[in-house]
Amino acid sequence: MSLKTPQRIAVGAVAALLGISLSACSGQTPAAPASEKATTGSFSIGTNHSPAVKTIVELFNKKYPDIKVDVRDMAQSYREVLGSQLAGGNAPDVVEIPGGGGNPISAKVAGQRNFYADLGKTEWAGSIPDIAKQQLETDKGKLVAVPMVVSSIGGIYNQNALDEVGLSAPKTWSEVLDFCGDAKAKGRVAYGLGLSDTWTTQLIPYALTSTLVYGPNQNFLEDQTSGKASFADSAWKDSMDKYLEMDKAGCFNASPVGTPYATVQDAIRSGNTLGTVSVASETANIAKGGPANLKLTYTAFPANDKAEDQYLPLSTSGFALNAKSSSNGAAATFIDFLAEPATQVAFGAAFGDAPAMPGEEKLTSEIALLAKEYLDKDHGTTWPDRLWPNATIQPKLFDGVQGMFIGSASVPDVLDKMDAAFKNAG
Amino acid sequence: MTAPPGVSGPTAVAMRKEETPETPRRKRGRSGVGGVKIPFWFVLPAVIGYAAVVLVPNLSGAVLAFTNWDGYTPEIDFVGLANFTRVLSDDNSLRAIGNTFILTIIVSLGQNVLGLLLALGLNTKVKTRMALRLVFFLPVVLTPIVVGYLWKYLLTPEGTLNQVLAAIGLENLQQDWLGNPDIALYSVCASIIWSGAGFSMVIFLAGLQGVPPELLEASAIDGAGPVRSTISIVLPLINGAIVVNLLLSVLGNLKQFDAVFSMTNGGPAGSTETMATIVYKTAFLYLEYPSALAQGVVLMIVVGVIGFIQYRVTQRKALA
Repeated sequence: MSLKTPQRIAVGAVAALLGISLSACSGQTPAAPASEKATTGSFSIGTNHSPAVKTIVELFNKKYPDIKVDVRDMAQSYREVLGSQLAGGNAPDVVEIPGGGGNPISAKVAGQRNFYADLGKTEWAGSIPDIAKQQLETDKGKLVAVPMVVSSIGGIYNQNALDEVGLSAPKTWSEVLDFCGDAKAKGRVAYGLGLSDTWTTQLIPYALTSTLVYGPNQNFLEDQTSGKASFADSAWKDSMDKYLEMDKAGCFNASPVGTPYATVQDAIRSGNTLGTVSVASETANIAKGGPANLKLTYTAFPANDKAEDQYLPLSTSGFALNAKSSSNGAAATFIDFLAEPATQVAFGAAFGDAPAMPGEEKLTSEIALLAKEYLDKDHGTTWPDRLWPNATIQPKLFDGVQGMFIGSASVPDVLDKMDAAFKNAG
Repeated sequence: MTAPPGVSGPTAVAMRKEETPETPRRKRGRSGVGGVKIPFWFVLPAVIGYAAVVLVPNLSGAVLAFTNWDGYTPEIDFVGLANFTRVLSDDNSLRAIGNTFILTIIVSLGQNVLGLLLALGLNTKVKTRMALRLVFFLPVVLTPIVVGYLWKYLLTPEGTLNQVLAAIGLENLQQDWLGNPDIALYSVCASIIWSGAGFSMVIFLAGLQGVPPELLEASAIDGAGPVRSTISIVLPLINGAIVVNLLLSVLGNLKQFDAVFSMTNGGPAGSTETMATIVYKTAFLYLEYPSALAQGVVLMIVVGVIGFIQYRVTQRKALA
C-alpha cells in the first residue's frame, strides 16, 4: 500500500522527531570535570532530604556570597532519580552519595562508571580516615567523594526511662540478656524492633558481626572472595543465633515483623520501649518527635562479654562532584569547603552523626566521641553490605531475618542463600 | 422498543412488540463527520507523544531484555533468552506471579461485588444518597500510596483494628495482619478493595441509572421480588458496566504496585511480592536491569493476553 504525500510527510516527521529524541537520550561525551576553584558563579546540589545541607549551604554562602547554590532536594526515590540523571548527563553538579557499593549512585558503582570526578589530588585527600577511604574509592583506587560523616550502628536508649526503672545501658552480651529480662519484669520492652521496614532487619546482625566476624578477621571479605570463608561457616551463624536468642529472652516487642519502625520510634519516645539498635543519626530523629526533656543515650552494642574486644560498625557518606559538571569551579570550591574541619563538625551536628574529618575541632556529642574512640583504637569495621560484591546479598538478609522471625526460615537457610548470592557476583 | 436482553414475562413480551424507528447511522471514515475531510496530520501530536512516551521506551525495554545491559552505559551484548530463563526459574519471580493472580482474583471480585452492592443501595431514594455516594467515593481520590500507609498503621499489631477488636471483646480475632505471611496478602487485598470499590460503584451507578424504571415496575407487577428483578433485569441491563469494571480491575490489579509497596514492601519474607514489585526491586535494589526488563516483558505479555481474552469473552457475551 503506497502512502500519499501528506502521509509520507507525517511519517517522515515522526521518524525524524523520534530520531532526535532517541539521540538526545543516548550517551553523551563527558565534559571535563571542574577542577579549578572559583569564588563566583553557581552550581547545584542534589540531596536526599538531608537536614544538614541547608546548614552548610548557609555557612558556605557566608564565606562565598558571590556563589549561588541551587539545592535540589529529591526526597522521594533519590537514588532512582539521581541514577537516571547521572546516566542522562543532567545530574546536579554536586551530589550526596553513600559509600561502598550495592546502590546505583554509590561511590563504587557509579564511581566505577566514571560518573564522579576524581578527587584524589585534592589537598584534603590524605586526611581521610582509612575506613572512609575504603568506601569512597573505586576498585581502581579513584577517590570520588569527600566524606562527611562516619555513621555507626549502636544502642539508642531513652535515658529518662532507664532512670525511671533503675536500669543502665548494657556493656556486655550477658548484660544485654539480663537487661531484657529486667526490662520485661518492669513491664517495658528492652529493644524495639520494627522489621516491617526491611532496612531495620540488618541492624543487629551488623552490630554483632562487627565484633564477632569483621573485627577479629579484617580479611574476612577477601577470604570469602577466594572461597576460604563463607557466611554459613563463620561467626555470622553465631551472630544470627544471638539475634534469635535475644528474641527468646524477650528482648523485643511482640510481632516485630508486622511492626513498622515508626511505631518503635514512638514507643521509645514514650518510654514504653527502653531502646533500640539503630544507626547513630536515628538518635536525632527520635529526639525530634519526642518531649522536650527527652534524653537519649548512644552506646556501642555489645556482642561478647569482653568490653575491650568490642568493635563498632561504621559507614560513611559524602558528596561527589559530577564528572559532567559545568559549574566552572564553583562546585569544586564547595567540595573543598566541605572538607574543612569546621564544616565537617557543623554538618555532623546537624546530621546527628560523627564528622568524618573533624581535624583539631572539639567534639562534644556522645555519638562523635564514640566514633572517634573506636577509630582511634582501630576498632571500627565497615558495614558488611558496603563492600559486598553485588546488591543481591542484602535482600537475602532482609527476607531471611523476616523469615527467621516468622518461623519460615532457619539461620542456616538464610546464610546459605546469602552465600549463593555472594557467589553469583559478577 | 426492543426489550433488553434477559427481560422475560408477559410485560417483556408486550414490550418486544413495540417498534422504535432506527436512527440513521452517520457516515464515518476518511470523509469524516458531516462530510468534512479531516487532515491526516491532525493525529501527529498524539502519535508523537504516544510513540515517545509509550512505544519507544517499551520497545527499547523489550529489546534490552535480550541483552546484558547494565542500566547506565551503552555497552550491550545480546544474551538470547538467558534473562527469561533466569526469571522463570527464580522462586521469587514465580511466587510473585502466583501472588499477582491471587490478588487480582480476590480484589477484582471483592471490589466489583462491593461496588455493585453499594451502587444498588445508593440507587434508591434514600435522602442521604448523595452524601453517601460522596463518602464511598472518597477513598478513590486518595493517592494509592497514601491509602497504603494509612492501612499499614491501622493494621500494625498495636494498630486501630486490633484495638477495636479488643474493645468489643474480640481479642481472639486479633492478628498480626501484615506480619503473618498467611494473611498479609489478604490484608493488602482488603485495602485495595476498600480504595477501589467506590470507583466500581460509580460505573455501576451510571449503568443503573440507564435502567428504565418502568421495567422494574412491570417486573414487580409480574411478581418478581427485589432479588429476582436484580438478577433477571438489572444485571443484564448493566452488562456494559460489568464488563468495563471487570476489565479495568483485572488489568489494574495485574499491575498492582502501590498498595503492596507501601504496606508490606513485598514482605514478610517475600510473601506479598507481586510482579510489579519484583520488577522494581530487581531493577533498583538488586541492580539486575536485564532480569528486571525480562520480568517486565513477562508482565506485559501476561497482562496483554489476559486483557485480550477477557475482552473477547466479554464482548461475545455482551453481543449474545
